[in-house]
Amino acid sequence: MNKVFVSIIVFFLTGCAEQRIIDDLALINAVGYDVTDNEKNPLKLTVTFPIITKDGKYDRKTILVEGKSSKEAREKVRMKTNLKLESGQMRVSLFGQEIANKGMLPLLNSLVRDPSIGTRAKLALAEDEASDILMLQIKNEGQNATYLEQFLTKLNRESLRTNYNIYQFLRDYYDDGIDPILPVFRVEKNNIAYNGIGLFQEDKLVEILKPSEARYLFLFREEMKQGNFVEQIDVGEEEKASIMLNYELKEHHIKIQSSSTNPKKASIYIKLIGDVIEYTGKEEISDPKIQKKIEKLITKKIQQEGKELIVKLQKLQVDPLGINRYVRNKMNYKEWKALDKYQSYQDMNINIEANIIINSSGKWK
Amino acid sequence: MQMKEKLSPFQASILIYLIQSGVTLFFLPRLVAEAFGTNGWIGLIIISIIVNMNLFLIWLVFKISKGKSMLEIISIFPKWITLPIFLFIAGVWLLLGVFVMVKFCMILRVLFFGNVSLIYLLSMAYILTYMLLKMDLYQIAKSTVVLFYFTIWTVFLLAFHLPEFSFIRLTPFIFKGETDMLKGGVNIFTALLGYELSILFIHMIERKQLKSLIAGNTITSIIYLGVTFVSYGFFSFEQLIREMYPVVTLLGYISFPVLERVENFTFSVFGLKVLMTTVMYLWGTKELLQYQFKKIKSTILLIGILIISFFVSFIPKVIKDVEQWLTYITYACTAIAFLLPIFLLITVLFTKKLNRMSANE
Repeated sequence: MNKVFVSIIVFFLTGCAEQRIIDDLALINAVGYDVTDNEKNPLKLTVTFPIITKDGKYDRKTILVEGKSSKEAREKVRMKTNLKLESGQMRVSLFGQEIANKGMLPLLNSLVRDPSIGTRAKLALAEDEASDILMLQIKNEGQNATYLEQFLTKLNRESLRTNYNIYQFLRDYYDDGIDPILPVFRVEKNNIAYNGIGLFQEDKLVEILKPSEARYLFLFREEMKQGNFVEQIDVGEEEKASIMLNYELKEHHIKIQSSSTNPKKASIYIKLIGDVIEYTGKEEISDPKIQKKIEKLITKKIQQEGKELIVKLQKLQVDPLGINRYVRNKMNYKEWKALDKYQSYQDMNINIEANIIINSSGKWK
Repeated sequence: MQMKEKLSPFQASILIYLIQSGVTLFFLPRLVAEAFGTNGWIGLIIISIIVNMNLFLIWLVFKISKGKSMLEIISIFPKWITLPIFLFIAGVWLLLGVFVMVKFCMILRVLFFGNVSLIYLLSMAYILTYMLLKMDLYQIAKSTVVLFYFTIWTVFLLAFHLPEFSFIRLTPFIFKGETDMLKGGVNIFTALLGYELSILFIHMIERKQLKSLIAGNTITSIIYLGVTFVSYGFFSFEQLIREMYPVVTLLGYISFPVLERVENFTFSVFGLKVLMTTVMYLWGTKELLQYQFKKIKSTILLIGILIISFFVSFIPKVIKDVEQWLTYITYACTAIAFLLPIFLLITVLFTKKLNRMSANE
């Protein structure tokens, strides 16, 4: 009897919680942050969530408000919908270029402080305005949020692995030896397209790398394990050929040569093994001699263009490769804390030592 | 209540592990980072060794007294002497047991179930506590084994964090950055508290008493060490210091193919561990009070303890208050953990000497 009584009480206790009916919820799946010219309300917040229309169709609603802070703006959004706002399903946060230039930390802080938002929510930058991307109606595409989420997951799975979520961004921000990066999207002929990588110094956006430059960036970051390499190479006098490799990153390490020298020297070693997918040159690519020659050409190309990119990064004083982490691991604590990290990074002499090996020429001789 | 059945060493180890691991686990990595700075996980090993020494002390009491229980040793004192001491210890244990649960429920509310009233959560907890405490220790130990298998799988979730783990992030610096070794160290030590209750049941363990106690503490330490080590390589150091509940974030970061935000579930499962901590501290309270007040029926005593616990739970209104309370209580508890076995040891040696003297006369 006692047990029955107790179980009845326990059973009924569960009914005391508040009910949430899914039809009455506005499950926000993406937010966008921009700056406005309005001094009083400097933040423009775009919120989008799926709705079911009266005739039973799946649709979305996008609300745009201006406010003082992200949560204050969210309160304004609350006044603009008949549904109950929920942030638990937020998948993507987009940041406009201008607001990212000013620093993302305040906005990220309010995201990470809110327990209803998971740390795996993805982050991305918008060229110009985040609201443009979220407001865009792509025919037959439905939710822009799901589109972006899928896009980011795809980039991540393919060769463009960056700091995509709140956790990763904050991790690299708070790490004193590496700077975060974020992918950039823009509106392009009624479509949302990937358009490069935003480089950050601390939490401020410094520069956007074009997709063609960003390729090398990913080659030198350790997280990436495989990818495609398409390049024009000079095969002979006045002769160019296009080659595409499906490669696997076999080795990747960064070495700092002796800690006391100034300027410091660093080397990035990478070893790629690749299969040729396309080659437009005249020679037989299956010939080992030609392969050796092409390996050399590609190695030269990567070392040259990679060096250019790294010099650019050094000039901008951004360290998305995390070279400073390796510098740190060569020093003692006092020296490291006394070091002017960005200055020493800029003065550093960074070499690339690439080793490319062609594995096969595909299934055609 | 006479104990007929004895605890097997395995049950004793698991009992120790489940009493020890409580609500502190969720923010232990941050505590370690605040206390020991970079690579603070090494410090955990030192603290675990201190706990083992304390366990050795408890075992020594048991060994020298030739298998007597604590209550038997203490019975040479008149009741009016033991009364204030026992009331104090019982009070500290009761408060610790209660506030650990209150804190868990409050965190649960902040993070996941913001709309559920604290009364409901605590009522559920106390109903379960009552059902467990009604039994004797052997029955409780049996259910701990079940709860152990319910919760131990969560350890393997750490494997999900390996892709984001990086040794470079650990940095080569040991115990650098802003550190607070002493105060922070004591704070971390409190995360391992709970083992001191073994002084009440060491004589009920069938065999290999010392080994099983140390094994229990080792399980806890290994889990704590694993979680902290993974946190150090998963978060960057400054981020770890800013994460309020790093382990909740760790749990939240896991993604399954179909399920989103699994931490809601895993965190609630952790509640079973917290429940065991509460149950065992209240059990300790009950044993002590039962010894003092032999005339009160045990069921009435139990209900009395639970009613007091229930009302005490609502004294602190916010997490900050609970934390403040817990800080003082755990300090008191740490003192008890060391002083009680020493006191007993002196008593045993003194009694032996007295006996020998009286035998000689």
